[in-house]
Amino acid sequence: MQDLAYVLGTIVFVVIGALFIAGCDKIIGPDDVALLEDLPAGEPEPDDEELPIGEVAA
Amino acid sequence: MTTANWLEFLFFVALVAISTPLLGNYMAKVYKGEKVPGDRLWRPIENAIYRVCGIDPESEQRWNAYLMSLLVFTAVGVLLTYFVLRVQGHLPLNPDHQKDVKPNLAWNTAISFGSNTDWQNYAGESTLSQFSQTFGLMVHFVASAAVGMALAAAFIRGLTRKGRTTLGNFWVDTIRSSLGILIPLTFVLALVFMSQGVIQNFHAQKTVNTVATQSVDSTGAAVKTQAIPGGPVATWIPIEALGDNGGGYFNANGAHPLENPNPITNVLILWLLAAIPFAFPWTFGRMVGSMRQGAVILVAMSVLFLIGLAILGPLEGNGNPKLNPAGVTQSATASLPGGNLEGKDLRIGSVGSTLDANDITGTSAGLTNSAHESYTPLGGSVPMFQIMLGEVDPGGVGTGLYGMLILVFISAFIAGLMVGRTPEYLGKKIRAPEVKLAAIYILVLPFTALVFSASSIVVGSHLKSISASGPHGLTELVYAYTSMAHNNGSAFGGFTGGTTWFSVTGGITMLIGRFALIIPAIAIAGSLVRKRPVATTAGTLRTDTALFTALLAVVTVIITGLTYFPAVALGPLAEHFTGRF
Repeated sequence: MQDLAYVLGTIVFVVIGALFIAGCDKIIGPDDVALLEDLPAGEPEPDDEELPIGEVAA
Repeated sequence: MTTANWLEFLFFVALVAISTPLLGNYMAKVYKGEKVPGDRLWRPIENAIYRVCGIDPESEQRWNAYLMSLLVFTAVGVLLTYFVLRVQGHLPLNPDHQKDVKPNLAWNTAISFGSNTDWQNYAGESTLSQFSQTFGLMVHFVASAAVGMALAAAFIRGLTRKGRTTLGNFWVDTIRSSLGILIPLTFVLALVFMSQGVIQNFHAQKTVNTVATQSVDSTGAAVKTQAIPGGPVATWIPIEALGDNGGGYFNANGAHPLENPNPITNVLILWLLAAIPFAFPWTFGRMVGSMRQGAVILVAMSVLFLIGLAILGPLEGNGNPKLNPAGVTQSATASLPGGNLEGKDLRIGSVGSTLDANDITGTSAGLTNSAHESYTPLGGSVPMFQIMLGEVDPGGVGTGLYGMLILVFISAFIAGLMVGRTPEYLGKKIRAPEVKLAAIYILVLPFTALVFSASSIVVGSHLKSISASGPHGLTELVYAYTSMAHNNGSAFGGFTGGTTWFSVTGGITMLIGRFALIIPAIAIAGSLVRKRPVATTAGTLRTDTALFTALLAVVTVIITGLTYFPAVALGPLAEHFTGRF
């Protein structure tokens, strides 16, 4: 019985690990969004926060 | 310090200084798939493994697939080891007729070795068969170390690649780390250790008659016999040290004369512990094409390592101040090595012990040759604090490098906030997702170690596992969970971890310590690999300067200090200031 508990516990940990990986995937976002930032070499990336239309950065 | 002490230290430094560029360049070539000396021997084996296992070495994995391969690989390895330990009494290579290992201990040990922790709730010579030691545990010495190295290679690719989604192939990286680096070095070094008197056999314990009395039996008669154990120890020791594993073949580990018979083997062990972790920044510099960036990591690691040694050495070398009023001689003499010698092997002395303590806790190995519990309170706090630093000076094999790189991101982020520069590293912008993942990476281990320590105190029935009272007892407990959480595996001493509570919570702690760090770390690499570098401008924060190196070292200490300081204050600091030693 204890053997079964430890084997199942190890498998459950793999499942938890997979869920953690999925959570981290959510944090970094989908690949296509990042790949859209395919800027020419030397061009700076856009800022994280977009300014409202019509506003000019200081 | 005596001349012999200085020679020991200088030999260690010289060996690390020589091996760092040699090994660093070699590993960079292995991970880039380039030709390396000796590859004609292991490449055919590598290709045969690919064919047998159906691995396509050209196919690459996204970071999450890379990690799922790791999870499954580790789980299968843990379960196989669990099975071996549970039925060892029915397996071959058991000349001492060791019984099957009980479930609690078997699971804790399987997790411990599968996670590169090597925490041991048992004495090898009286619990495990030679089959279990060799095929159940020593296999993990190679596999778990190779996994750490593979992850570091994947992390580096995350920084060097541009606009990609893949980090490499887990199976290829792990097999190359094993066949190309760990196994050849282990083979050669096993011959060296054998030449120095480390045993290599499969025979049973042999009982010999001794001149001196060993013990007194129940009738009061003097016992003048001793059991000399056997085992393939000369193979065990090099991979135990080289892979920063640390689990001893025998209970006394590095203080056992059949594991560590003379000063040459002692210096070799100290060097092997640090060889790959210090070489990885060099590999990093080669792979990213900037040796200056590699040098920043290497210098920060070295400075923190030497500071730890500079603090620990005098604390133990000057002896126990409580013994001075009694007129006890604690300085070096012709027959005594000097310093605080409680819990230390007289062959190794205070200097060799403190060098080992700093080495094994700066890396992720538990290869102790002294009882850290017997150190002075502040002396004992140094190895514990080294573990709490996150084992980044120089850290475990591979894990030390990516641990330090995550601290680089945090340093760049903090510096960027302070001076108004854009946080970038190697041209890749560090944005909110990377910082969130880095925060998880930093917080999860202190949380795990301290919550389980506190839980053990609240569930008071388990306090009998702690041998000392007051602050020293707290340190025993916090050290144990910190060591398991950071996958170090060294024991403070005086702590009995063989109960069901400590076996289960310890196993969970080691699993969290391994994977709750690896997953966010490789997720960061998976995020960075997609980014294209931006041009360096006047607004870019330089990360290859002496100033940034100093900032990195300070940030490492401050982050650790903030998270663990209350536990250190209630343990070793309270013990020191109340004079309870």
